[in-house]
Amino acid sequence: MSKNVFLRDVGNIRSQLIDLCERGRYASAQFMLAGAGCNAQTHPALWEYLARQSAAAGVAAVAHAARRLLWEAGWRTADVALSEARHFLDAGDHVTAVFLIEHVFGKLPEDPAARLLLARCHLETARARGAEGPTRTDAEAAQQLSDGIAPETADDLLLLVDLLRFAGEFDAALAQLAAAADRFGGDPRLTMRAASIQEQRGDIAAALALWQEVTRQPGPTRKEALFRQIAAQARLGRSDAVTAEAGALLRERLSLAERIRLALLMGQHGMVEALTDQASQGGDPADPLGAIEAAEIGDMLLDAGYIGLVHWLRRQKLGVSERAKTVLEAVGLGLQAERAPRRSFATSVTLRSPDFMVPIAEFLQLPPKPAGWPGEGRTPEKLLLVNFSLAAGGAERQLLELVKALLADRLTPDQIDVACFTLARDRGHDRFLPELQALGVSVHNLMTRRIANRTLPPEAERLISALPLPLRDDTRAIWHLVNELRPDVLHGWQDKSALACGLVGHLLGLGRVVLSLRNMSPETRRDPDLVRLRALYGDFAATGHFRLTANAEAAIADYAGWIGCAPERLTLLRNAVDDSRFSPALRAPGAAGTAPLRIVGIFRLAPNKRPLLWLRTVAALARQCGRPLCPVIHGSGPLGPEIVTEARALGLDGIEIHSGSTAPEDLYGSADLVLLMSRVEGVPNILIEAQACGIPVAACDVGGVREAMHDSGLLLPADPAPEAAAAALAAWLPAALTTDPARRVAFAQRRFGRTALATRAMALYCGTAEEP
Amino acid sequence: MTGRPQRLGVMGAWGDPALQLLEDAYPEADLIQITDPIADAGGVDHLILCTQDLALAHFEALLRAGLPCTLLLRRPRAAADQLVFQRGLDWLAAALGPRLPTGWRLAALSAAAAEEISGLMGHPVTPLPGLPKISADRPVLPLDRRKEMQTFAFGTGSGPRETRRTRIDQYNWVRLRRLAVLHAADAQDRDLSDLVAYANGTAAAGPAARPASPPCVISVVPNGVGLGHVTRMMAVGKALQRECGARVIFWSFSRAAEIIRAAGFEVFLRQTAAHLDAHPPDWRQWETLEFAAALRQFRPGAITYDGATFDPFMIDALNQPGCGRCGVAWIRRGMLQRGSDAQLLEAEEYCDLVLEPGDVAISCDAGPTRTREAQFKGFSRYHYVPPVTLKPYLQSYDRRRAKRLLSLGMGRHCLVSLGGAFGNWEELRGLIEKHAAQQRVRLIWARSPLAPAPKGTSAQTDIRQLYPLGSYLAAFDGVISATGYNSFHELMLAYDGPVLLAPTNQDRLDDQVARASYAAERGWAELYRVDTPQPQEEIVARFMADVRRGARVAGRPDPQYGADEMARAIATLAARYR
Repeated sequence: MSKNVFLRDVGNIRSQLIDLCERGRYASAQFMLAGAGCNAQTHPALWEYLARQSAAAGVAAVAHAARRLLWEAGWRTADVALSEARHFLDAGDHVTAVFLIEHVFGKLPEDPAARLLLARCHLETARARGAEGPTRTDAEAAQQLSDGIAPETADDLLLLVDLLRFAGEFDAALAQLAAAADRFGGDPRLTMRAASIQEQRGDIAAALALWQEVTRQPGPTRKEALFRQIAAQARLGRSDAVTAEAGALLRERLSLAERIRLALLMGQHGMVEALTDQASQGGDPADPLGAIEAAEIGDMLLDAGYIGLVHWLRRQKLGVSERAKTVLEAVGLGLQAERAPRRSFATSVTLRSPDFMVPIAEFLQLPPKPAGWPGEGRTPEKLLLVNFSLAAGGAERQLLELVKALLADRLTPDQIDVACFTLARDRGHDRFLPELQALGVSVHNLMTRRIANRTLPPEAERLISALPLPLRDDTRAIWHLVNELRPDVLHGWQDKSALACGLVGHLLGLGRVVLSLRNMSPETRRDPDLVRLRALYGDFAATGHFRLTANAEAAIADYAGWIGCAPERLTLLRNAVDDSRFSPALRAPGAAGTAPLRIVGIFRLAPNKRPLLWLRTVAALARQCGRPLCPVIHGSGPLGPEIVTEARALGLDGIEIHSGSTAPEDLYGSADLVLLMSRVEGVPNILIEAQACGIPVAACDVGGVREAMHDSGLLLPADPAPEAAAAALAAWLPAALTTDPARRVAFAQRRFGRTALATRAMALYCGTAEEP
Repeated sequence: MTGRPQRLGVMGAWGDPALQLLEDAYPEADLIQITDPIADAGGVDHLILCTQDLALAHFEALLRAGLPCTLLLRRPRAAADQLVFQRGLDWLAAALGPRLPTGWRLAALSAAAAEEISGLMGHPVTPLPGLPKISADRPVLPLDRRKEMQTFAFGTGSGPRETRRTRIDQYNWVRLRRLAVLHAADAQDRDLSDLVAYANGTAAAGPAARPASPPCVISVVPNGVGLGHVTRMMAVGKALQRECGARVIFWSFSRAAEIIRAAGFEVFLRQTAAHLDAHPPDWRQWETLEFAAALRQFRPGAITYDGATFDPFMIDALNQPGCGRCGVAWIRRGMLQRGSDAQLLEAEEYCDLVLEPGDVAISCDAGPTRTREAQFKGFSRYHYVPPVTLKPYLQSYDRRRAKRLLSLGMGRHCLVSLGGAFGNWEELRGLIEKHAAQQRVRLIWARSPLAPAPKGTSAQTDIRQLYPLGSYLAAFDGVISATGYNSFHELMLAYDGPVLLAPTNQDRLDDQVARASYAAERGWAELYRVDTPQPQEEIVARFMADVRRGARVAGRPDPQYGADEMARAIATLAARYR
């Protein structure tokens, strides 16, 4: 009897299979089954046994081979599908994994394991795409997959939470966490996720409380929570807390990567350089840098724009990530490249992104344009306006005013597109969306917009991939939209959008690019993230066919001084006020001379607006002025709790603090006086609107305040003491309250009318504005 | 800090002036540049960190190291950095807490800086020990770190003042403050103002001069072709020993190290990147560290270098902490070929002194050292001296003794010395051998210590490996020679027999043809052009006939040697850095 004949006996085959598996000889078992002619179609149970046993023993190749044969033989069981899906998921092939699950379990599996695995597939797919921008999952799929499922482990719960939060479904994600709090309450990762979600939705104070909760618990998550806590304090503008907590963290034993992260967080460039120098020498001698930490350091530096240091690390043979290597090679900083900085660390320090790519046109090797290009043009067929969001802010309101003005002039709704980086409802980023949509213009949400092909042309990728974050993501997002729409005019509104629009303007060779810088220069505003992009501002100012605008003469002078260009390179594009909404008609009848005087402040409760100085000034005025006062603040922000405490301490018990009110009549209807005490301002809309309503205004002489104020208003010194400011107010008030309001109204309508805005903007779009 | 520690561990960025100036602040200390407070704690007595950035970067490790520690706190370099500066100090203050750790001290470069920083941090901050003023007359150098080049007026002693430009990142500030009176020209760079105030010193500060003793000079010898550089540097070395008892140490990339050692000098034999087949940047980094270690150990007052191109390792090493009290003298001969790259002149920028050994043929020098000027001369001064050869330092033998030492015996002898390893001498060799045989002149072939034996010479030809040749010239009735600087000048200044010069400009920088032509035009020598198609047998025949008859040549220039003058200039330079 031949061996084959003997082996055809299934019982013997099974015995031999069991024997081989018990001895760990899975490959032999696979060959034995194949050699015995037991294929998966005829003997699926044997192959399934082999698949399970080999998988349990960690012999993935044999297990996968067995399952593949089973799948091809039509033996598509739940177990086979799930195991194969995990296999493909681990290999990074999310698409095949989704196919396997949906083929067996359908689009919305009832089986919890299948549903969780499908959720993981979606999340991993989003993360893989996230290499080209923020991670985003599909909201509908996230809701469906997480609905009605009770995760059994904390990891499963976090999976679903992540799926939801990356879809922007923050409330649902928090609800998942809350529902499972009892079961996994001791796991600090849940608190950390909740904190991250609160950050994403913009509730930094809530996030901070959660991070503080985690830092009180010892364990491996504490250090990460400390970092996040410091970042949250910084976002809240609590610099003292940032310093104190970062000081405490400095006394802890941190890895080199952690110290660099802390230095970046604290904006201490010299410290970043010192630590990178140490990293380039291999790190702490007692604890040399590992490959993962080295790559992490390289990526952090790349994201922060320290491209020369990344190059230095690579030259010093410290392992950097494949991403970093690709970027270095693409921008001519390969190991052998000519652009490579010469020999010293000090030289590498000076090579920063985006500065090293300036002039951008040269970097992209664009043919030079003749002076005056593209000349006078026609009315644009397509205008794309880009802004960060449509939140309830002054700049956003001005964007709306601009669109209204353009529509009232000569453009039609189909000629105007508006794009925003975010329109998240739960963060209030869509405040003006309905009003804008009602005008009939197209509005694009860059965060959720589907992009069919994410691949950029090599030149665009070369430039964009070397940019620091978040400019890199912003530029990438806008590039796809602009490439699709091909507008005649691209108009970036506010610095963040303007910077990305300028780069896209270069990349796509647009003839008309208008970049509206608002407020004051980043240096005046003490915005460290924008300050480091000064070279880019300089490039745009030097690019002949780009037109930079600012909304005040003071802003122009401030920007020009900071950029180092002639003020003529910036065009004045004043704000506009909607005189149909802001007029004396909405004011209540004037208060009697003995009634409490309603002093209104409308500002964000943030350090730049100096709300505490506002309170102290009002308190001093209450002491100096014979008339009772009723202070009213409209606004919200990180300093809310401090303001309440300070008001109480100052005896301003009758103070009214409102948040969320934006209706003109709520803001100005009962105001006798509008007072601003900001440290930095551009042209405050509040002053213009108040005067359009006929209300007297007083403000510190900063930025464009002087330009926004009728001569009947009160200009206080830029940095006044409360008592002195109150004395000036007390002296000014009697005349201010009796001045004819019509004078203020006429001033606001004349200088800040919508028609003037439209005329100026159309001149920029058509190329008929004065040549700088 | 009370009592100056012997081993001072310093942490600072490469090229940081504050780090460099510590050499003058603590002249008795051994400055040891460290990168990690924990790993290096055992090797130092005290730590100095040159910026608050370093203190922040290593704060926990500094606490753990437990060493006395000075944190040098610096003001910002630009107005835009003011906020970062304040935040950094706030952060450091928060980490320090209300009381400084034991043995820690906060310091600043100036009293004004100390007062400001103390006010910001709420801790006492004291100025670093002051530096002594430099009394020597020197130019004023306005400094602005935003500019790559600094421009200043430089008095050369003769003629009008020159406008010069230089890059400051190549100077150790210990050296720079001896070269110039510094002036901060960027009002926003407050760190620069502090550095300048500190570097210019105060009259009240104690003397930083080293005890008077014979200077030490390190002579860097490139791996050039032939023995020209080595010979000239040995001549200068001998002169330095004779003039001021200097200790002369050779840092030699030349394979002639044994010759230098045999001449009684200390030698460090070094390897070039090419010798090691090493990646040049890696090699340079290594050589920089090695050379810096030598500078710290021997504390030379000057480095001398004889070569056409400067390798940056020397300048990089001078920038290291503890290496700044040292001048640079470049011994650069003239007579470069007309088309030589003038870029090589730019190394003048690195130097205190450019010393040119004279050339008797200088009037026909059309090379860049004579016709062009360096774009950036830095603080260098130029000094021309008479020709430099080893001759004055060699024992000269009379004819009888020299012949005996060379075992030459009776009859006419002609020395053939055609240089190290280059030149196409086939035709000349045939002619020499032919006419030497006709005239019964015995040929003695000089073999360079660096070269293989001449190929294809006849069995009757004698070969001698002689170095230096100058001692033995009297033994010969005639000399056939290449026209390198040393052989040419030894022959023209110290030999009266017939000379046949066979110059070649191939593979070399100097214009041997011009030099030889100059001598031939004046009847000092016969000229044989290797590179001409014209028949030249008659020249060789005439020369051999002269040798045969024992002819003497009159009218060659009077012997004048410049090594002593050169040595005096180097000794003066070294004294400036004492």
